[in-house]
Amino acid sequence: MSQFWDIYGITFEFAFVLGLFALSAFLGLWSGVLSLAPIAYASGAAYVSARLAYDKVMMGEANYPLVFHLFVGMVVGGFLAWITSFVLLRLGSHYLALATIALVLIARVIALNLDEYTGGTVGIPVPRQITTWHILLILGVVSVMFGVLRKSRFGYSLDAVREQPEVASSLGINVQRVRRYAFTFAGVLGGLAGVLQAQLVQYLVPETLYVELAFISIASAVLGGAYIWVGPIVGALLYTAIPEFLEPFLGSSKNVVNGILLVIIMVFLQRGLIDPRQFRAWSLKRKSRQTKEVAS
Amino acid sequence: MNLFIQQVLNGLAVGSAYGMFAMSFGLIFATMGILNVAHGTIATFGAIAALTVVENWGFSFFPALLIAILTGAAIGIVTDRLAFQPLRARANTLGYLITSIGVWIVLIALGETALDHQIKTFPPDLLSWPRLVTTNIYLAPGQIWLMIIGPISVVALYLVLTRTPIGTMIRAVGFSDVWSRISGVSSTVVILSTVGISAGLAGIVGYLSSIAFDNVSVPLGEGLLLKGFAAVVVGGFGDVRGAFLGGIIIGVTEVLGAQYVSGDFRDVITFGLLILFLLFRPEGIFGEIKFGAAR
Repeated sequence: MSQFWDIYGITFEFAFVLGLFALSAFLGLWSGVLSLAPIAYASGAAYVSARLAYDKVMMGEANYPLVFHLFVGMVVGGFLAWITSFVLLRLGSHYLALATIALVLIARVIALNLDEYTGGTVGIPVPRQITTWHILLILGVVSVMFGVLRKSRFGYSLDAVREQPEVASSLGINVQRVRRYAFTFAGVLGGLAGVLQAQLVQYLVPETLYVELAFISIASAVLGGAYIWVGPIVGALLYTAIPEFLEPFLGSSKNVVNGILLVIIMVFLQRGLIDPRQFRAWSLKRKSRQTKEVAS
Repeated sequence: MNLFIQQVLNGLAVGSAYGMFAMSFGLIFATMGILNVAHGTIATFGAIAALTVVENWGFSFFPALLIAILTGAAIGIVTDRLAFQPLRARANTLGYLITSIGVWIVLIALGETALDHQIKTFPPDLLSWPRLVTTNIYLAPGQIWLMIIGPISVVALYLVLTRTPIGTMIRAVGFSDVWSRISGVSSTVVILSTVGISAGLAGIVGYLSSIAFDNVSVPLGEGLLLKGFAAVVVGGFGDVRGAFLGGIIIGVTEVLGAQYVSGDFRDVITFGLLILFLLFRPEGIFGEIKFGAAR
């Protein structure tokens, strides 16, 4: 077991953090918004946290505690998301998706040009404070929060906004406000994940949190199933695990197989692997079978 | 002054590439709602295919251009049949995005294999005319062809979209898929021709810009894609003229910014522009209506 962990531990750590990114993408989707912006907020948050740690270490003092960095990440991510939401959420869905991609591109350019603070292309080292257990704990807490959210008033209004914004609005739900809350919370989550990712990589360059990661996190969310919080986590685990698993057999062509798998899963399971509607259908079927047995 | 003219011309050449790419990317997005992440890699494949026939069978410029178009269109159509067509029954932008990410991963891996992870270049004797050399101004043939074919392709595409039956059908599907089907528009014809035109155009862009920038590599297409996003946000994807103009604006500001402000600040102006457009003109220069309503 410990040997297994020595080899694959780091993979799992990345998978869990990808799970957090996927959850932040999922939160956007839950409010009916296709947004890749959390990665941009993650980048901002990671840079602020990394810079704080760097200055502290350069001064020869002890780094801030981990909790402080996580808190900073969440505040910065949430703040950036809240500010930008006023511009972004005005847009229609197609433009919104494009604009959030543009935001990720802009974040990189800003990081490149504020090289006094970010180290520009050279980057900035990030001292690692987290352990696997920290990441698991964070993922666990976030999952529980999503579980609670799902059955809350806010969760139901998110469902309504996603399915039919017009109807939701006629039911007295303020669609824009619900979306803004979800967007901001996605930013908080993105900031958190960004700090974790930076600490995992231990080095932050403008491309650490960039378009590829944005696409992968949204792919994980949809692959796993973007209708319940379990989905994105499962998606992220699979997305990381499958290439690792294929590596010994396929070597460098694993990416081809990986991409093809993504297409196949999307084509055949359009609602993703974990689909609450499917579970409901199964349990209904089982119940009806039981009632039949009782009747006969 | 000469330097200024030189840089404006350089910017126009780069901008033509961005503009053509943005046009082809935007056409698919506007008509079918597919945010095709793999589009840049299709452009790369246009260049790779052209390079292959030039190196192995000594094709000259125009036959190789034709190969680039055909390769782009073929990859586009195959991609569409395999990865997008199965999702059409319940068309949603999200599903398309995910399958296009899958296709993108596959194409990048194949492209890297085809190029052996190297950056290759076309033989210099492939294209020796027209070359513009005065005392202070120098334009390579690749750049000149970009500046010639760019505007031609906008005008051609605009005329096709507005003046021909197939163009009207494409715009009708862009406006409403269901309504156009009710009025007897064959969606298969529309989809195949849109993808063919758009991916073929991507092939052209990949080929011409790989000549102009002396660079056949996978990052070339990815760069086009990112700048294409920017151009589409500036120009709007709903109108081919807007998308092309967006590309020109991005290209010229990029080159002039690098010359007169600072090389490091290169992208700042481009993306500053992007932020301005997002704030004040989120639907692009020409807006969307022109493309939506069949007038």
